[in-house]
Order: sequence, then C-alpha cells, then structure tokens
Amino acid sequence: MSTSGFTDYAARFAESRSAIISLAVSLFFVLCAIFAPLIALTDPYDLTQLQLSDALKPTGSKRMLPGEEARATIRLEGGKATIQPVSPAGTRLSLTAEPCGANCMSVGVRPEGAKLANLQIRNLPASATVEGGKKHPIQPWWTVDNPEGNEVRITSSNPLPANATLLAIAKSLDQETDFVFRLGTDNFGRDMLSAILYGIRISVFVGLVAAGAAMVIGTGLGLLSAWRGGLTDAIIMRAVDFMLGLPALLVGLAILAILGNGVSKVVLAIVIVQWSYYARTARSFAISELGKEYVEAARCLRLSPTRIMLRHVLPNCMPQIIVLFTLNIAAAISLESSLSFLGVGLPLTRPSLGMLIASGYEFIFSHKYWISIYPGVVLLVMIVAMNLLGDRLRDLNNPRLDR
Amino acid sequence: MLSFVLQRLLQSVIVVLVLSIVLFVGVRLIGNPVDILISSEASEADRLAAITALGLDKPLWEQYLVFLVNAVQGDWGSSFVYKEPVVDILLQRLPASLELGLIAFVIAIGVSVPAGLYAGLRPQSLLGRSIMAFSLIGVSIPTFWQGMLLIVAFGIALPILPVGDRGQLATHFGITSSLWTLDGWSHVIMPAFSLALLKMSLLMRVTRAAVMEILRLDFVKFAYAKGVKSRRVVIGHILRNALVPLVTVTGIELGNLLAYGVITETVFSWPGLGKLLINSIKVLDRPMIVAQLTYTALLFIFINFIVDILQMVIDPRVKSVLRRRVA
Repeated sequence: MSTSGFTDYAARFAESRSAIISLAVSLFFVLCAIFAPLIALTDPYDLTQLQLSDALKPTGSKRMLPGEEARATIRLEGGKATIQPVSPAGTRLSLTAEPCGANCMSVGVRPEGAKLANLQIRNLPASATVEGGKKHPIQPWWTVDNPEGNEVRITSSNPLPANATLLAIAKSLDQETDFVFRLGTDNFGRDMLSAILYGIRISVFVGLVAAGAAMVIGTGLGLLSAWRGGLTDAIIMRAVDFMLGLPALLVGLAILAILGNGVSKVVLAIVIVQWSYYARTARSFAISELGKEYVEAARCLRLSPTRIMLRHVLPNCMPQIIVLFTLNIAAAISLESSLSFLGVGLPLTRPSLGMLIASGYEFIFSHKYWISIYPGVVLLVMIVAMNLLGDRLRDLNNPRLDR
Repeated sequence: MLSFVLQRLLQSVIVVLVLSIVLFVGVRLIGNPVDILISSEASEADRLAAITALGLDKPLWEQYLVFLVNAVQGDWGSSFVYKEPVVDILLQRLPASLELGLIAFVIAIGVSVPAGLYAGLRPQSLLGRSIMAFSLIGVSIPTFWQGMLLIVAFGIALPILPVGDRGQLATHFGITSSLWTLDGWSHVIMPAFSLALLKMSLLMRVTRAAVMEILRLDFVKFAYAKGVKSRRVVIGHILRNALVPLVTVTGIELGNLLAYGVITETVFSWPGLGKLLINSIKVLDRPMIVAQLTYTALLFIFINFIVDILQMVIDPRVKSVLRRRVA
C-alpha cells in the first residue's frame, strides 16, 4: 500500500470515534503486556514473596508484615548480665538486658517504637517474679502482654543467682506497611493488580501468537489451494469444512484433553481451531484476484508462482486477512480464557485472566467478588476493543459502504 | 431434492468416520489403557492375557473396526469412574442438558429476532443503537464470567434465584423434567439466560444486517409503493427473507449452544452432560471422553445436515437452482 493510500485509509478509519478509542485501548493493553514486569509492583510468579496472611484481602487493604519473634539468652554471671541473641538472621527486633538496682533486672526491646504482642521470660528461678506478668501454670515461664515501654522488670526477693541462664522471647504484632493492594488479593495472597498485569501479558501473548500462527498457516494453505486447484484444493477445502463444522470450544477441549495443559498446547489448540477461517478467506479472495489482469501480466513475465502468489496476490488479499486477524485475536483470547476456566488451559502458577477469574469463582459465594470481577472487566474491555477494531476495519474494506 | 439430501448425508457420514478415526488415534496418544486397567502387581502372563482379552494385541486398524462396530451397536464401553456403561450415564444426564439448551434456544430466538428486526428498521434510533451496544457486549463478554456476574447479581446480592442443581423434578406424560415445577423454572431460568446471551447477541447482529440489506432491495420498495401496509411488508417480505441467513446461523449456533453448555453447566453446577465431560477430562475417564465428544460432534453434524435441508425449504432461490440443475 502506498503512503498516500495509507494516510487516506487512516483518515477514514479515524472518522469513527469508537474506532479511535478501541485502537487506543488495544494499544494500551499491548503496552501493559510488554511492560508488565516494569509496571507491576510485585512479581505474582515469585512464590516466595507470597504470604498466606495476605490472602483474600479486599480492595485497598494494606500489606501486613507478619509479627516477628526475637529470642535471646540472658546469662547471669556474678551480678552482670550478658545477652546473646538467638533469633534467625534478618529479625528486626532485638533484646537488651540491664540491671536496675538490687535484685532487679530489666529486659527491653529495640527498636523503641516496635509494637509488642507480648514478652516472655523463661527459666526464672523460683524466687523471682516478673512485674505485671502471668506465670505459666507448670513451667517457670512468665509472660507480659503489651508490656509498657516495651520493658519488663524481673524482681526477686532473694538476690538473683550468680549463675543462671534465662531465655527472653519477644513477639511483635502484625504491622501495616505502605504497600496497598489496590485491587485486593487472591487466595494465595497475590496482589491482584500485579496478577492482572501479568495475566494481560499471557492473554495478549497467547492471542497474538496463536492468531498469528493460524494466520500464516491458514493463509498459506488458502493460497496454495487457490493456486493449485484440483486435488490439493479439494483436500484442503474438505479439511476446512471439517474444522468449520465443529464447535471451536469442543475442539480445543478435545485437543487439550489429549495433550494436557500448558501455554504451547493452548496455542496449538487455538491454531488448529482457527487456521480454517484464514484458509477459506484467503482462498476465495485469491481465486478472484487470480483472474485479474495484473496476474496475467505477471504470468506473461514468467515470474515464478511463489513470487506471483506472495508478492502480487497476497498483498491484495491482506486487508481481509487483517480484519480476520483482529477479530481472531479477540476470539483466541476468549477461547484461551474459557479453556483455562474449565481447567484444561494454562497452569495455575502462571495465571492468565481466565485463570484468575476461575480461581475467584469459589469465593464469589462468600462475597469476595474482587478476585473475579476485576480480571473479568479487563478481559471484557480487551475483547470489546478488539472486536470494535475488527468491525471498523471490516467496514472500511466493504466497498458497499464506501462513498 | 432427493439427490441433494443423499449427497449431504454421504458427506456427513464421511465426516463422522474421519472424526471417529481422529478421536480413536488421539485417545490412543493419551496413554496405554492397559496401564490404567491392570494393577501394577499383575504378573506378566496375566498382563498378556488381559491385553489379548481386551483385543489390544491386534493391529490398530482392526481395533478401530471393533470399536466402530461396537459403537454403532450402542456399546461405548464402561466408564472407569462410575463402573457403568457409558451410554446409561449419558442418557441419565441428557434430559438436564436438553432442558437447558431448549430454554436457552427459545430465549435467544425470542429476544434476538424482534430486537434485530427493530435495530435493522431503525438503525439510528436510540433503542436501535442500544440494541447494537448490548449485542457488542454480549458477543464479547466471556460466557463463564457473565454467568458469574448473574450469580452475583441474582443469586447473592439480590437472592431471588437459586444457584446450582436442577431443582424439583416432576414427571408428566412420561417426561421427567424440572420444567413441570415452579422451583425447576426458577433454577433453569438464570443458566438458560446465561447460555442464551451469546447466541442472542450474534443472532441480533445477523438479523439486523439481513434486514438492512433487504430494505434496500427493489421488491421492498415496490411493496411500499404499491401501498401494502407497513406491518405486512415487514412480516411478509422483510422478515421472511431475513430468515434465510438466520436459519443458517441459528443452526451453527445451536451446535455451539451444546458446546458452550460445558461452560454454563460448570458455572451453574448444572448436572448435565457438559459438567460430566469436564469431570471426565479431569479424571481422564477415557471411555466417557470419547463417547461425549463423539456424541456432541454427531449432534453437531446432524444439526448442520438438518439446517442445509431447511435452508432449501425456506429459500426459494436454492430450490430453483436445484430444479434447473435437474432439468
């Protein structure tokens, strides 16, 4: 297509406002798909980042840091206390121990502002007590809930024994972080916003690759059929009729039932379903093009059949093929999500939009709508935009609507 | 006429045969049934005996012929899971699916033809545009998600309709169905609407396009010019001619109704064939899968066959072409 032809085409395309909007929306989704790892705040595939305490949180709730437990042994040696932390590495809480006068020792927690659930001192000698603490009915363990100033005092009627080892355990409350789950979380504690972004990535990828592969294969077979005619044509067209005679969803279901699930298998299933549309369209347009004079001229020049088909006939069939391609991307995305919903599509660890909706299905009955609603809205907008785009392109190609 | 029917019939039979070969070979690809049916502790002699008994030692084409002969006689083997003949289980589940499909079909036709007709006659009116917008959403919305939205809206937020199962059954005139009871209707209406939505939207668009096409034709203008009442033109001329593409699409969509039943039945826990198929795929119940897929494909091909015949009856042009060919 020449440049002026393209500008003309673009100008006519732009006459419809809905077409512009749907083009913008489609491009937006493609950008989302490409840049998902950069935009998404969390990586939904990184299972180590997920914490079950975040599961099923509604929209706008904050991520909670789970409470920590810090342990330290306190060794009393001749009136002096030495403290030895035994917490796992990376614990933010730490314990301190200082004498506070005769027969008294205070155990504190750093950092100052930490909110403690409780502080427990174990293995106290029988004579000692912890102020404000409760003793375990059997064990020599004292627990103080919400200790004031994050500090407890161990007091004793007798002098504290010269050689003893105590164990102090501090537990902090769950803490809010600044991270907000804008669209809530799913049942694994995944941030839905990130999961949706990655879901768009998978859905768009599957749609583009599957529809693209189907286009190449289908158009190729259609052109072959148109060029060769005879037996080749008959065989290919019977195969097309055969495929068109079966419902797409069932064919996809049957193929995946046989092959098992996975991204490549879903793509394969969609290609097997969709190639026939392209083959039929390409063949019918190619046959009408083959009767035209420019093809005759090319034949007189003794150009090779491959060259005539690919360089002369194919470009003239392309507008229709592209319309089909746009509509089929939407169909492919829709089919993939349906198959994933039925549990034969993509694996659970790398959810597409359909998979996200499916995983939210069981939770709608307990009023946790956000898991299915948001991915569904995204999926719907994506498919509507693609369909509108395809419709507009088709109208542009329809000579009857041409002025 | 007869030769056309016979020709189509022959084509259908060939399609069925090809399909059965594809399925037969495809299912063999899943794995060896011997591994599933015979316990791993069985001795080698027992294994061989079982393989001979099952006929798996024969060449593949011979196995296929045995399968075909049995299938034609109605023997599809026994389900691995239910331990019952597959045909019995399918027949148990069939009424639920038929019921759902039938109601959905009636809803789809009942809504789409008048709406499409209106949108075609008055494409610029507000209602006409709204109908088109509705159909665009209806075509694009994923069936399973739309079903979930219906459940959320009418089953949970406004709990006016029950979700899941068929409800109370009753038997009249030898037919056991949930359509005889009010409770049954309250169960069927939501899944049926959900199943109908996609077809409804598609048929609306087809009807609208056909009506707009026909409106431009000369015979409509003549009819108006002749002073025929507008109602008669719409019903007698426009609708009648719009029926031709409608029947074709309806036929294809009827088959799709069966396929999409799989999704709707899963979403609404409807105890029909679709849900059975999904469960069978999940547990790899091979005889069930084969029987179900073949049965649906058979039905689909059968419907296509009927549609072709119907189309000839409705469309006078097809008939005249055939007559000319005979003469």
